[in-house]
Amino acid sequence: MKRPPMWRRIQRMLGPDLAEDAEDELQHHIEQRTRELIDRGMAPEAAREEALRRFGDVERVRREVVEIDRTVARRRGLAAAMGELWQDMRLSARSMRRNRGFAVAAVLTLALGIGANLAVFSALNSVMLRPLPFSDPDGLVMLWEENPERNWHMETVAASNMLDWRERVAAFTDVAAYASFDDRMALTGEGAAPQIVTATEITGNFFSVLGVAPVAGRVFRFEETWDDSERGAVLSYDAWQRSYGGDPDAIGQSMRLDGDDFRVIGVLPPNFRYPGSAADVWLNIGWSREAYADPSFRRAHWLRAVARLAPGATLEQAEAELSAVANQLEAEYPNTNRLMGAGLTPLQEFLVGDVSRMLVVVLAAVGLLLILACANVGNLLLVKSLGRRREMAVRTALGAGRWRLVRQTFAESLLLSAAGAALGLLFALGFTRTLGAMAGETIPGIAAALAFDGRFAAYLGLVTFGSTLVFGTIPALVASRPDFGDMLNEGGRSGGQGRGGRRAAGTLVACEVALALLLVTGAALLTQSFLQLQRVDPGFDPEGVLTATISLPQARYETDEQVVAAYDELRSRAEGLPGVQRVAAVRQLPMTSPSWSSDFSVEGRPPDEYGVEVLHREVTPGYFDALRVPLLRGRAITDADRAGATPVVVINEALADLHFRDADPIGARIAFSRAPDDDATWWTVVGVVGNERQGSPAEPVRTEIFAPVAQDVSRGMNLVIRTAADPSALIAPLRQVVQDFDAELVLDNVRTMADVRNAATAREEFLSLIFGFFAAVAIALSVVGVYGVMAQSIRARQKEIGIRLALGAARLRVVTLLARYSLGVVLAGIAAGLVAVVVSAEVLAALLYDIAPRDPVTLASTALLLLLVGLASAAVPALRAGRTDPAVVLRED
Amino acid sequence: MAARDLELLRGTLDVLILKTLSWGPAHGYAVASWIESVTGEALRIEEGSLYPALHRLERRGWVESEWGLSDNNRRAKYYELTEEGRRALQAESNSWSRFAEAVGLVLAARHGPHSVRPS
Repeated sequence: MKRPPMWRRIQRMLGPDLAEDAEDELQHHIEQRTRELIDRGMAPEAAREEALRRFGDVERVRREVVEIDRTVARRRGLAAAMGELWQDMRLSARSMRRNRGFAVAAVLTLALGIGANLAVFSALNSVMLRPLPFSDPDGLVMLWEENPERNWHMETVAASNMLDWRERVAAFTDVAAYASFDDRMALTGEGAAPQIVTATEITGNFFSVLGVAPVAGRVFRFEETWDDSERGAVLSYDAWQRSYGGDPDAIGQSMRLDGDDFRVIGVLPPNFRYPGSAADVWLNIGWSREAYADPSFRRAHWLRAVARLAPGATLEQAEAELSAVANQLEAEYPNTNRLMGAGLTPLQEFLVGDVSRMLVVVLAAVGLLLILACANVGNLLLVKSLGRRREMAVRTALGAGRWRLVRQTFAESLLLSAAGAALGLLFALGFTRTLGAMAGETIPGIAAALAFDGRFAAYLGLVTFGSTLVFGTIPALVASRPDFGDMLNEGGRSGGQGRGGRRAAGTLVACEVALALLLVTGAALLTQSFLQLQRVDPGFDPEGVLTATISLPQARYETDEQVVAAYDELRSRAEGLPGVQRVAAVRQLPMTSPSWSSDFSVEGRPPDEYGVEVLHREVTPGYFDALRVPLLRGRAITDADRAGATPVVVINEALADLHFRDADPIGARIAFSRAPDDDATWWTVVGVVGNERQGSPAEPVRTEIFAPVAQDVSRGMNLVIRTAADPSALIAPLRQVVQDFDAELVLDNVRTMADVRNAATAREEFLSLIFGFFAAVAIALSVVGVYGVMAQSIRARQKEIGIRLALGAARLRVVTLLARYSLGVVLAGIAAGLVAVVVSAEVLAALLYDIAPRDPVTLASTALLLLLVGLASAAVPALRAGRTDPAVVLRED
Repeated sequence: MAARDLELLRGTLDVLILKTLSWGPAHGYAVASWIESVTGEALRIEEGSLYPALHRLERRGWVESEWGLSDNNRRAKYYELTEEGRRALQAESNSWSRFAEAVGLVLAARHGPHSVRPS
């Protein structure tokens, strides 16, 4: 007999062939009728004709019948599939109930892995994947300047340059700018308790370039960039709620910020956010039209510029036009724009790219952790399915198809993942809060709650089904292959495992060890990097110092003399507090991001001989004392350095080394200009101090100049208070001092200098903590894995062990024999892990400081650590086996 | 033929089939022969139309089918009345009798209708 073709057989499997069945049924009728007519004496030919005539249109009837049956089959097929699925699920649930310990262990392991993944993905989703809440955010680009001579890349831009790009680059429909730093300002007014708000200055077209419409009032117009229009404030939705209780009448009211009046003109929508900005109010920047022509408008780089691409303009086109204009400007303004280039980056990439890259690394790590968890669960399932060989055999004998058994195994895995995912969601709620707390300032915009959306749901589905596939495949394979089962059978009848099963389990455990090695290495590298950064000498002594920001509003401290007098008075009052040793002020604290830099030249030297740029800070007398920055040469700044006296500066060691080399810098005169003209102010160097780290400890020390605030006045300063006691105990008395001095002044950013120092390495700390946590979990999981596979293989060889012991083998020898197999598995895992580390090392490179991503010492130590952990977890069951009483074992079975 | 007549015919055919199967499982040809033998030439139906009717009854759950061997050892599809089908037959035959009775009464009437004029 000819076998029906393959497709036919498959079709048969899927269900009956309706057309064929209908044909058979109808032909049966016609044949019967024909036979009857023949029996009555008709000729066969005529009989068949008569039968067909009586029947009618066979083809039509057949089609009609098939059509009816098809609807029946469809209904039945669905019902049957649901029924089988339900049955699978019920069987699985029953099997879980029987193995409650297994189910709990598996679900918990998965829930941990899935929960951690969901939390990290949610963070990544809220920071990176969610589009910015602007209209057509893809059409927005960040413009920046670069200057090889000054070592600038993606730098802030100068006001005049930005305004010229706006006029000249056709590929931009508009260019707006905002101050690259926020101002913390005291909000006061009728009936309002003084509070500090964060304010950002913007050009008038900022919100129209972003395409953000207000929910109340209006936003600025470009014309309001200039100081001939009224100063206005656009409130964030939160600030509107907080300060005005969401009152629409707030629009048009006047609010006082640092003593100046601003008219509230509009409120932003509640979902508005600008990554990296915490602004409560947005103020029009108020440039004077005349100042626009001033060189300082082209020299000072302090703005971030956002442009909207013209319709149809590509990034490349816009970038080319922008550079061409930058070249024109360089030719037109050689004094300020020498070597000044410009470039652009898509806005979202610029704002969150850095954080996103870090989160992607964390997500990769947490993904590895989930795979590790899956390997563990797979191992548990494998052990369990080997134990259920007999059940499977019985069910096969009773006619359960092989496919059915595979499906059954997968149903069980899916049930586990689903339970794991459900519990994982709960865990994720907690993890998200922890993650948010740990990340703090290092991940701006990280959501404190799980961000549920389509992408999150898709990721949830992916990890759930992905995990099922990862840990469900091997047990399903075991279920599907009777030959595999046969191989298993050789293990003997008492729950042994056999070579095949052991190989599968060994592979899983080796994978676990490899993944654990990868995670532990990552943690070790990041932790070393963090410790390295902590070890960096900041150049000052952060212990015992309290700091706070204070700003003297122009309205009440109009003249330089008033500002200087106020700081003198505040300092002397604070110095009267018990335990306080020294009080000073500085415009910017070390180890925060340095912002002000100046052009620079030395008297009697050709311009540009020693570079062009130095950082530039103003200090009160006593600053170096208060922070214990060592004075290396000359003198520090004193109370005698006031307005009218000879302008003096103190320079840092880096500047002395770089620009003065062997010459004595004391007495040299410098100007904050590249090409000093006759009006230039010359500052005499009176001292050299040790290097402070100005920014992150990972960055090299930059050359720096300190000027007395009395000669170079600044309204916003940071108080620096050294005390013999606990600095945080000073907070309340200090607030009182300031309150008594001027009730409208508000202290802001009150924190200890140690906190400032820690904040500079917060990201590294976050990474090393989270990786450390992952590594610990990874080690725990692989301990369980190695222990499990070892215990299983010992149970399989219990009899052999008994015989060996009975025959007088030394216990130690038995133990080593048993350990040898585990050692092989662990070593294979370590080898694979090392390869993975070497291959993937570059991922971490950007996050590491002063340590190579393939640091051999780290690699060797983590490999050794895992080897020891592996051996220890194998040794426990092996030693126990070594202690078995041969008599007991041999009597069994 | 008007759709109403077809409907009537179908309903009639369903009742006949159910009644036939109430004696026991049968294949399509057996159903057709039995109806033929009982009604003689009185009800000439197209034999083919029996099959869609059978399958429709199966879809409604009034009959069940199973493949079996016929008397001459040939594969044949047997139909059997379900419990639901039995109840349906009861209901259908009752209403059919009432219908037939009503038609009978009309046909046996001696007086024609009187026209009533509005005064």
